[in-house]
Amino acid sequence: MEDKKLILKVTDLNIEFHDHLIPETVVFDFDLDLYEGEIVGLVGESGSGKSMSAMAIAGLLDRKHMNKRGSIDYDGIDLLNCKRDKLRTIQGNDIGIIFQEPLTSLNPVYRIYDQVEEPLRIHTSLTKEERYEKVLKALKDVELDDPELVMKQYPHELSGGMRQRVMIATAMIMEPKILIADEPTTALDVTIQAQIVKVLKKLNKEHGTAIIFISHDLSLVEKLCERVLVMKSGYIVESGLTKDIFNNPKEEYTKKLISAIPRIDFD
Amino acid sequence: MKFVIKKFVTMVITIIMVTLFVFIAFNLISGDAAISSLGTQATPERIESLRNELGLNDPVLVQYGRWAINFLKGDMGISYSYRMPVSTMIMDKVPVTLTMALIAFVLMLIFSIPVGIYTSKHEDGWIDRSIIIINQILMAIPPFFSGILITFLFGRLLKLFTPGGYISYDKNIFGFIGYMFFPALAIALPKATMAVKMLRSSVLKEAKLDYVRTAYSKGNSTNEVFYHHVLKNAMLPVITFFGMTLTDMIAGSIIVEQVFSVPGLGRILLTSISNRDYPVVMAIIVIISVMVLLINMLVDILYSVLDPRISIEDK
Repeated sequence: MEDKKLILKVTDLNIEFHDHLIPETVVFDFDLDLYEGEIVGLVGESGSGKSMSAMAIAGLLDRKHMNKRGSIDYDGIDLLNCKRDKLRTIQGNDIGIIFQEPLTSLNPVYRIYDQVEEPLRIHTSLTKEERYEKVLKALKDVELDDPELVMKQYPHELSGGMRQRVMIATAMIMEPKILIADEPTTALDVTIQAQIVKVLKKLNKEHGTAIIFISHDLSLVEKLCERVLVMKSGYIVESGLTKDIFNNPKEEYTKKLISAIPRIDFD
Repeated sequence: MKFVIKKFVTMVITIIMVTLFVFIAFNLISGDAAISSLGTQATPERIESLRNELGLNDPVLVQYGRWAINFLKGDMGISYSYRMPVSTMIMDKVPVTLTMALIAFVLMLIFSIPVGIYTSKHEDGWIDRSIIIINQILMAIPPFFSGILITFLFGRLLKLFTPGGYISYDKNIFGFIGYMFFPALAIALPKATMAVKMLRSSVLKEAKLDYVRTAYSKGNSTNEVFYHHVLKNAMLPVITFFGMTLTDMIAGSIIVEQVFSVPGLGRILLTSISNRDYPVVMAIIVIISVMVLLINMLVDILYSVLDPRISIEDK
């Protein structure tokens, strides 16, 4: 890891909700060093704070009803505390994100082309033709069968797997340094899961995009990630190289998670 | 094309049903055109002869058939009470009612869209809260009462128009529109407040959906997310509501026309019903039904253009 460049440093991230009478802390002292081109897994059960940490990195936490402390340093900019205008130049440009729900994450009233193209319109001054070429390439990169047809379609005309590919294409179109994948395969069936993971792995290799892969599916994490962070109740309880943690888990919680994996091989 | 044919057939069937029901209803209630036009002092013989003359003694379906065939030929019949062709009686009233409904519709749009957008963008601010309260009060006021308030406020106190001083559109078009503004306002107010409420809740509902988060993740500004992503989705149910209100405004202008002494379709419809003057009533019903059905068709088409999930061919 030492030879690689550190691109993201999260220090002492705390997230506290204020939408109930009693404030509730959902993430405690979250630390993460992300190096160029690596894939880091973030695992834990529902409500362990893994998605919240990811949302914080993507700058998507609600501004109201929430108290955030710590810092998220990207290229000298503190994503947690900087102005929204500054954050916007990084969102969709240097950091892309895909979500758990491909069915609802696309805007129902716009064609796929417009949605994939949007980051280009926001962050670049490319001509229409150049943008078209980029969109076509991005859709090909995620291995959609008929990209020319897909770009003319609306989200409701695509399957869940296709929509998730479209989401990946959108997140990857600016060739970001970091891709956050927040349980990208949870809503999909197993064969599609394997294909999506394959696409992510390919994009990671080809573009050198670092991926933060969030999942409660440890079998996927084991296949995909070099490093893994295990979260429970808002704390990181264990972290290290995937193979070390899987072969020799220290925490009781991690052992339980690992023992819960149904063994399916799909390579 | 298939859609247009289908809609046209539905429209014809609907109009047949509506007119037939009105016709039967007229025959079920007591009194008829002969008694109304001759008065209660008339001899039974005279009433009977007028009944024969007007064809009121024929079976209902025969009467209906005769009316329908004449109507299709373009002959709306002769008014029983006024003894003049129905077409000349109502044709110059149609633009009056239509103009009033259109002004009301435009007023509703001008008011409800910006206010709805403002309140939803500044949710829970003090302006939003005050608007909600005022909105709730205005929503509860029926048009005839707001009509009286408007007459009092703008007519008596501010003297912006002369109550009851209707100006005909063929005499002075600007004076006509100026006068019609006030009854239109009375019609528009409750509808506009409902539209504000709908648009606001629709925006707030859409803003919580996942695609909004996606839009932010691409680096859109709050305004871009709002106008480009949220608003377009939020407008869809509101457009259906707008279509419904437009038809409602045409049909519902009857009472407001009374309050403002506007000689539109509504007034003539009320007098014709009490006179059992069914040729006039039928003609007005057909006109209103056609307008309502046409507007519904337009809304369907507009909706399918705006929402790709809906295809008019499937309907």
